[in-house]
Amino acid sequence: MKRGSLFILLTIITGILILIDISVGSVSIPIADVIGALSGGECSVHNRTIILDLRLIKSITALLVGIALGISGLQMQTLFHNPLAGPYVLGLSSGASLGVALLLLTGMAGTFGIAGAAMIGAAAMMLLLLIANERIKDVMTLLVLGIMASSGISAIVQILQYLSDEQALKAYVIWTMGSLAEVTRPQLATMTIAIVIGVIITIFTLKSLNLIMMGETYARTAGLNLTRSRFMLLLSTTLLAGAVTAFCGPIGFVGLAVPHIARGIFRTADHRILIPGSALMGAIMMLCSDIVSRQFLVPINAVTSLAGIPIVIYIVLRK
Amino acid sequence: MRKLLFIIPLLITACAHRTPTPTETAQNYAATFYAPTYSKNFKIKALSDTSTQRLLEVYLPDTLRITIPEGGYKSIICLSSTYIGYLAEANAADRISGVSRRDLVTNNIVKNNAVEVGYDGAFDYEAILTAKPDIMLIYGINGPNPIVDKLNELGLKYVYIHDFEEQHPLGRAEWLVALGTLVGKDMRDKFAKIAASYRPAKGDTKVMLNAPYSGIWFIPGRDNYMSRLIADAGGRVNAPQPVGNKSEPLDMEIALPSLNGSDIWLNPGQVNSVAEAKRLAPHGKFAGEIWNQKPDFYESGAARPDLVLEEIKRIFSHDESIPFTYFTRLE
Repeated sequence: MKRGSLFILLTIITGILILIDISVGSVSIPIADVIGALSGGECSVHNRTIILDLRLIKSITALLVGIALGISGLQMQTLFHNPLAGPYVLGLSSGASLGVALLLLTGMAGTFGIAGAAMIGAAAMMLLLLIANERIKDVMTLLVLGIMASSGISAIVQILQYLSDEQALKAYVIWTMGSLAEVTRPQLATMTIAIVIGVIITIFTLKSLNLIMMGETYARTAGLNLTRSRFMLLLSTTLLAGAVTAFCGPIGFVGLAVPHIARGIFRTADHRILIPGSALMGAIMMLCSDIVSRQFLVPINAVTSLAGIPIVIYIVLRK
Repeated sequence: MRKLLFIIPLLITACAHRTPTPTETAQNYAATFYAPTYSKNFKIKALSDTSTQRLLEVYLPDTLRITIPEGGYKSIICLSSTYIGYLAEANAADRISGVSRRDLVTNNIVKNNAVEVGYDGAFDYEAILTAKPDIMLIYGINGPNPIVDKLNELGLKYVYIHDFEEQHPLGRAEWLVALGTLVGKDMRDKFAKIAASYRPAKGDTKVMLNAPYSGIWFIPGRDNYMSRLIADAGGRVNAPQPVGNKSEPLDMEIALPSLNGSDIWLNPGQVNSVAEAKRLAPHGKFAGEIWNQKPDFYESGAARPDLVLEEIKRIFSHDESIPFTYFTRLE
């Protein structure tokens, strides 16, 4: 199938999944009411509130989360030449976890709320890496630094968990499971702006990504400013994955698995195809996960993990 | 290029934005209807000394004021089981339209009438909206509950009931007056009777609390709710306890001798028999009685610490002549 047709097909599938996602929930709402609420037509006030204030916001959130994680996962896999890299490989999730742990387990930074605390933690982590990026030539060194910092932060969070009372511990563990349901309209707006800016930065790095994929030596000889390109990619990842983590918690495996699905479907290494392809596949994966999560009342992270793990295993076995 | 970094603090500021809570003014509520004796975390005000219009003021996690309509709130969602206990004690269990974890509720009226609204991390907002609550009773951990932004957006009224922060059993039970006010009932006399019935005893029964996990035994502080109940029943926690109410880890080298020297082992957790409890501490040589809390301890038990205390006293004196409501002896 031609790539153009594939994009059209995937876009249609995404649209259908959005409609299904809006139509299912714990309250049974007739399709006529769903269409009525979305189009401004006939619909009871109660059902309109559920569809517009709950389901639509959650569906758009799932869409944006999938797009953001799909793109940032692909960026990290290309940057580090590592098929098992994901948006959180450099410790973005660990940084966010530390921020939230300090809030929930010790009561520090209470005025920022969970989203603010998560964003502070993630941003602090990425700023450290951006500073390191200025001084480090080898991207693998950056990766090792990121992984080590991530492990160190995880150890601190473990200590905080160990010393906290059971209610605070439970609240923190629940945050780590991720949730799309608590996102409000202002938060969705913030997330949208952050993701749009992140995507715009990504568009400016498309050529860089194709060059980096050929190897750093090749990229340098082709005239690419590697430090600048890495900076843009790290900043883009901070915006994309950081915004998602701040408002929805750490959503695992989407960023890791989706780029591989995109490569398998589009059979190309050209990032001008893979970036939008990963965005679409990420959206599809998140929408499917949200539908399943709602039907079986399980945390979204559990569903994305169960969906993503077989893909990761396939990659490892294929290698 | 580095100028793009300005986006980060902007993003942090945007992420920290909270949907504001609609606040109710307390300016006109000049009279104090009820100032708690044991709790520090709420107050009930009135328009005047003779007025029946009330305002509930709570101080944790933030100060929040709620006016009480005539006759009280008619449809209430409870996110904690202790709230069910208080409302049942106020004969208002039928006003509970939704609960979290309905499968764990012991009150039959609530079991039959209330809908399941989900729980932390998986709240069913559709069920919450369908229950049409006038007010939701919620709690926060080290700050506001993460769901409040969504509740504010949906226009749902809520109040924090932080009874769990009270470590004195009567301080916790005193929230009965606050929740009674929410349903338009004056529970001051009822609470006064409960307080009068709460009769501490003297004694020296040695008690071991909780159970080990991965080689560590968490022991509650001296001022902890359970520690106070044990002390008031004439017992003492037979292990080094930290100051305050927080639990701290205790190594098994210290915890096991404490267990072995105890008369009663209380609340070993999710176990149903003596054999299961002893498997949690396989190197222990405990030979006494093992008692566990029943689900109602977390429901009506919070509102009736006098009855809980009497049961603990009976545990210490080995009096099993009448059935227990809040504890069960493991066999």
